[in-house]
Amino acid sequence: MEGTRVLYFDMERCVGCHACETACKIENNISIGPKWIEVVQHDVLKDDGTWTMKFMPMNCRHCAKAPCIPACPTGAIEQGADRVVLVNSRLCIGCAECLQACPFGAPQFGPGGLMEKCTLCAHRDPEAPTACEQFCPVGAIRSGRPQELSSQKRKQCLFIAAAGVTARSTGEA
Amino acid sequence: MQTVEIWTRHTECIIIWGCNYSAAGIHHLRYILEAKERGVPVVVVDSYVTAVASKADIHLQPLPGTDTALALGMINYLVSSKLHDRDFIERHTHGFEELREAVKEWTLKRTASVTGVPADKIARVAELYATRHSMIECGYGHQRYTNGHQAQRAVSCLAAITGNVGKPGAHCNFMEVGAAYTGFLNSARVQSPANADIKKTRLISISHFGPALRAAGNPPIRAVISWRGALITQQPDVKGMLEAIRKLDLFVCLEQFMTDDARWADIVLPACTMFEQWGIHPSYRHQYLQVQVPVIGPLYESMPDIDFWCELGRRMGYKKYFPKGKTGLDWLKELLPRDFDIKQAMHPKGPVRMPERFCLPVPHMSGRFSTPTGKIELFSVMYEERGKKFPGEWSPLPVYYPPVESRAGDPKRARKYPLHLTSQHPPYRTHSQFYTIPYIYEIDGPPWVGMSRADAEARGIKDGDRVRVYNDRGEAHCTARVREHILKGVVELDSGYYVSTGANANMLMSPRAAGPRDVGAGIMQEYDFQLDGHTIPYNDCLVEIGKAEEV
Repeated sequence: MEGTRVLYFDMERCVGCHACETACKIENNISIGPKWIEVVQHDVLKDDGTWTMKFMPMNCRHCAKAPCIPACPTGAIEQGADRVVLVNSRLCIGCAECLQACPFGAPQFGPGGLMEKCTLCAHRDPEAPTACEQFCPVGAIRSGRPQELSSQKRKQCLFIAAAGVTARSTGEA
Repeated sequence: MQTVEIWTRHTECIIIWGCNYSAAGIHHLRYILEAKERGVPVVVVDSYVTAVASKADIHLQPLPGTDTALALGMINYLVSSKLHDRDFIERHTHGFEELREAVKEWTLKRTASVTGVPADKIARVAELYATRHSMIECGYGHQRYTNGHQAQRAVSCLAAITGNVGKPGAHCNFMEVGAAYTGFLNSARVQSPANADIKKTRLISISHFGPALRAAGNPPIRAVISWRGALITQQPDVKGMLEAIRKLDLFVCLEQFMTDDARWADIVLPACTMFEQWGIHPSYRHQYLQVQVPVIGPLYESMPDIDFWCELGRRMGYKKYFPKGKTGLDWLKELLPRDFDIKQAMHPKGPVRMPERFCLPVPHMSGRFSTPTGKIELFSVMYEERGKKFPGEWSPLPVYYPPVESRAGDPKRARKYPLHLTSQHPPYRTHSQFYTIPYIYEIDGPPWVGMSRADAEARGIKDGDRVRVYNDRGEAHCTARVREHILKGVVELDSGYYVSTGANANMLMSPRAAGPRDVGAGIMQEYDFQLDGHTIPYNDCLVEIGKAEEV
């Protein structure tokens, strides 16, 4: 299929089980330390005075204008036609300039000190789910073209709005 | 029990009570989140801010061990607001008038003051629950207290008086394990083969294993084989357990990892992993079974567990009952009903639902219940009768009293140890299993204890400090995690850290019985698991915490 692929994370579904991290590590044979995807969490105070935890898996966003690419002094970071941002370990010198430039903290550094990161499971069939998507037990991770994900999300909005109407008609605002 | 894939399709309101799906049952959570996305309100009752509580529309956060009061308060509010289901009560329950009288003291005001949950919130949830087709899904959270049996009774009564029982999407589920359905596994044939002379033995409560080992006199217990468990890690009063184990002539452990039991064993027998032997997999909260097929042969000197037990049987002179060459699969075939599709259950895509004669998709639709009165016993005749036979706390009507070891239950002790320790299932391990897996250790990090900012500041503790959690029974050394979302006066220390890490929560816990039956030192002649209770009050525990360097 034409176009780029991104990962969409549903924060309303993610419960911080870290299965995506483990699936990624096993799939990509990553050592202890670097996390190509990591679930972050923080506490939020609700209006009724109770606390709630928010979770979000974070990976490389494979930006269209990836700031890591011009930041790399050796040209080790490349973007293919499918827009997946990959690092060439033969050229990487482990200077971490990419980490300085990346707004999401995506670049990771393994035991040898070289940069490594999410490849969107580039070794898998392009239409197959990524490992993190496949093993998320609550369906919080979806890969797809931005347009597909956008449509799905728009449909979900309508679905929730319709459910809200039903809920209100039965007395629950 | 109604399984999640059925009830989530029909329900209009979900209460998840004392149950952390995000840590212990994540395979069910997707169904619940999908129901929520369809607009079904989700209420979570839990002293913890769990991930699943974070997804709730309303989170009721009672003080530890006050769930009974919360349920009784909801019952009283509903009955006095005439929101109870009079028709259902008339036809299907026993003892409503007694219950109505008993709950009268539980005004919203009093309920709020005991539980710490605001009165308007209690009323809102009670109304939502009673006016809809509602489901309660229970975990063990509210049950692991000395008053836990009454909490579960009270929650069940709440379901009964609103008629939310035995309808698709409206029921009160307790954690059931599929294969435990009476008669499904032919255990009797395997345990008592024809013509075998098997002597009746004492029964030892697993919850009281340490005290029972020490108390057993006639005859004394001289040897223990620990198998597929973690006696030292998972039982309360670790010091008492170790004292009992030291007195044994022989302590054998079947293991693959250097667990606490393996450390203390006189002999460690190399056990197969699940990948090397036959097995059968039921699970909590659903009714599917899968046969586990060995994918490799036993490695090194290990052997399938069943081979060990059969060899032991043969060497003790019972060759007849333990024929050589009988495989795990042969034993499984003997255990399973003849019409069970074992081939399908062995298939990689093949979990098989147990036949409906053992577990109906929607039980109790008929309105008949297997109690002495044939009804849901709000006033439990079964408890009343059992109470005449055995000591314990057998109030036939659900009653609230504070957990024995809590600030309200033991104020004197609480002056010395003012923090209520609760110990939940670790989200990234299964009890003590998988602690040694580097990928998992990397996620959870070194042992930690969670505490509120107020409690931490009062003790000069900062997030990340090394602390000592202690009482008169023992201590645990961990890293403090200071979190906004933890209730003041409550500390969280996950279960399952090996004793050898120095952070095991059971070091701090007493070997006392959760109710209803008081089993004393844990040696019994007779036991009914449905009536007598069989849990440990893991959440009845008071402690103090100090910075590690100060002590």
